Amino acid sequence: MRRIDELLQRLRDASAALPAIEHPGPFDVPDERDPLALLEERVCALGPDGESSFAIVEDNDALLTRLRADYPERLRAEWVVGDEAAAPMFYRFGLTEAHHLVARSGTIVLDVARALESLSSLVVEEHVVVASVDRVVMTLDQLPPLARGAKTRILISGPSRTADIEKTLVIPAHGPCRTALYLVRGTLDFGALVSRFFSSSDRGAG
Amino acid sequence: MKGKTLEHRARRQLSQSGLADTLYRATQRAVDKRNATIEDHAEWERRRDHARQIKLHTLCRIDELLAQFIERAQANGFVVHAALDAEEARRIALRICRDHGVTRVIKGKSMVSEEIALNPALEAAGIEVTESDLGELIVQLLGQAPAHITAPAIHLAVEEILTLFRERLAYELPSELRFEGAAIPPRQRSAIARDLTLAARRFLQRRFLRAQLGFSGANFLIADSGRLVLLENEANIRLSTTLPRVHVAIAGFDKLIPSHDDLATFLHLLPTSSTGQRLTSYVSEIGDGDGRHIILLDNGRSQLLADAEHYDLLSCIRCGACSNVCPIFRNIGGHGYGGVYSGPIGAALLPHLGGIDAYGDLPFASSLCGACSSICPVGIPIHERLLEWRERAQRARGTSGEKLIARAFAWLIERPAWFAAAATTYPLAQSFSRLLPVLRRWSSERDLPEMPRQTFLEWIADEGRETQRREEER
Ligand code: SF4
Repeated sequence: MRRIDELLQRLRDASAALPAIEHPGPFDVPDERDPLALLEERVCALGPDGESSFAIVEDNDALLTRLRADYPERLRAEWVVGDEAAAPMFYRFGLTEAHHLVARSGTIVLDVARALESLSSLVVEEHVVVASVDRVVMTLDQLPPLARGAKTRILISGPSRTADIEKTLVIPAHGPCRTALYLVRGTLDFGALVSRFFSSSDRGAG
Repeated sequence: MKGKTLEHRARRQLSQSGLADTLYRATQRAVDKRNATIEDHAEWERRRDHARQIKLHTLCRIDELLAQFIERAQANGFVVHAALDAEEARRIALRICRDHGVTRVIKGKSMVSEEIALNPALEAAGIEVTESDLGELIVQLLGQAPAHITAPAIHLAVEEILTLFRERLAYELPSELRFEGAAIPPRQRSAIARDLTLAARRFLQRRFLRAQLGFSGANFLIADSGRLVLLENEANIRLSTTLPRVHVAIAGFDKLIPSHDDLATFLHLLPTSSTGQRLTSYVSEIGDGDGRHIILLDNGRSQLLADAEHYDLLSCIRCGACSNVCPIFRNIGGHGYGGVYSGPIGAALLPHLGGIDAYGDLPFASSLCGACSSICPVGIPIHERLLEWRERAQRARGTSGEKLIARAFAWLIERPAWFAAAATTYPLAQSFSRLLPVLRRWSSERDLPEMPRQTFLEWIADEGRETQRREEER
């Protein structure tokens, strides 16, 4: 504590003579396009770098049907879901709910209580992300504060990558090889989705 | 990679064949990508001004804002430490390791940990340290210092890394990638680079699981939320700050920004300036502080803060763009600067942080072309700071050789007869310059300009006569 006070005192003395400069206030960016269209473009533009897919479905039932169709091996494969603190490594699939999406940069936003709870987006071969279309914002500047109860925010805007050896791009460096994003019109019920998705009954949606 | 003087190091770097080509290719590619990306970022220039103002605002209120950060970070569960110098920072880091019985450490890329020479201190205490960023791992295995702020292995060719991995990671080239001779055929270069990367990844995954403590730097510290922000592409930092039980982040107080709302601007400016990416693949904004420590470092920064002419150097966000465009950096590389920070910002910063005695010659490693200042995402007029350093050095040194020459020239030009005489003897001086020891070194890499056959006055007179003649003919 003594050292902290000493550092603060040093800074007080050193900055005393500096010119006073005001904070510039918020940064405004005009919304010029439809965020959903742009988001799709951005997410799909990840294609050549890392595999990704993008889909918009009408409601929670349609989402369930779609996921069951896209992941027929769902009951046999290893999944890590939502904020389960995963024991590393590596899982076949991770399933998470994105709290927000940013159109301009194709960013997936995860708000978690602890960083450990975001591993379902990281130590997996394929990352499956679901979210509601209402959660799409245009720019990073427009992102709302962290969800209640969350202390850490993870932004994912591309595949895990490295180009440290002669600028040769290698994907993934550590994270998932593939990202799939499913958007639902209306409100997403993640809890119900998860329990229905993993129920062994094959009746599908309904 | 220390050399006595800038000149000494620059000569050694320049004599490495192929280095300048490798550097040129890599840096130009980053700059091209950056330029392409900002083309569809309509508000780029406005963001730069915005960022500069935020940073200068932060610096003039740094004591209040840092106090706010500390209070909120502690409320989030972080243990916050302050270190006035490198020695103290190392001591704190070692104490944390000892308190937790740590023998294996994994590190995310951090310039500040280089600045305080953390690795040697940990290793001396018997702790195994693994750099988890691929570029950093390579230079660590080589026993070198990073050559660039954001691209530490920028100076190495695939062949060198292949040899290194064979020796240190028992790497074997898969049979389909084998080749004859010493140089890798162009067709195979990227396939081999990829396979080497995968080998490093396998090696690192084991290290992530073994480590009891993760070290990182911080790209930003947010005052109003008490959170720290880390940017990366590989995900090695996410793993280093998540898997081990303990996390220690070391950062200069200059990483502070006032508010969560300011972050977006910097999340754009940093990666785009650095590599041309729109955003880094990952951003972690960490606010769950349990099991985490933050060491706030001064180490010369508060002294720089008190320098009202130069304090804006503390607004640097370490993107490396100024190095990428610098004609000097492109020739001598990061190791030519002999310090932790390199490129134009290193040349301006190191004399402040490391002292004029050690780094006073660095501000002379610049052509003052201003490319650095015009690319800097936070608008630091870096070349002006370098020029000011030179003036400071000159003032301290008194009369220099150049000044004497300038004075002699001023005297000469006021005396037409002497000047004419000097002009006729100049070609003679030109031949002599190769003989005089003082001038020989200067002229070994430069030529004195050829003397035109006529003086300017003679030429004007001739031109006048010629024009007159043509007009008479019409
Ligand atoms: S001085 Fe500017 S351009 Fe250079 S590293 Fe710092 S922020 Fe980037």
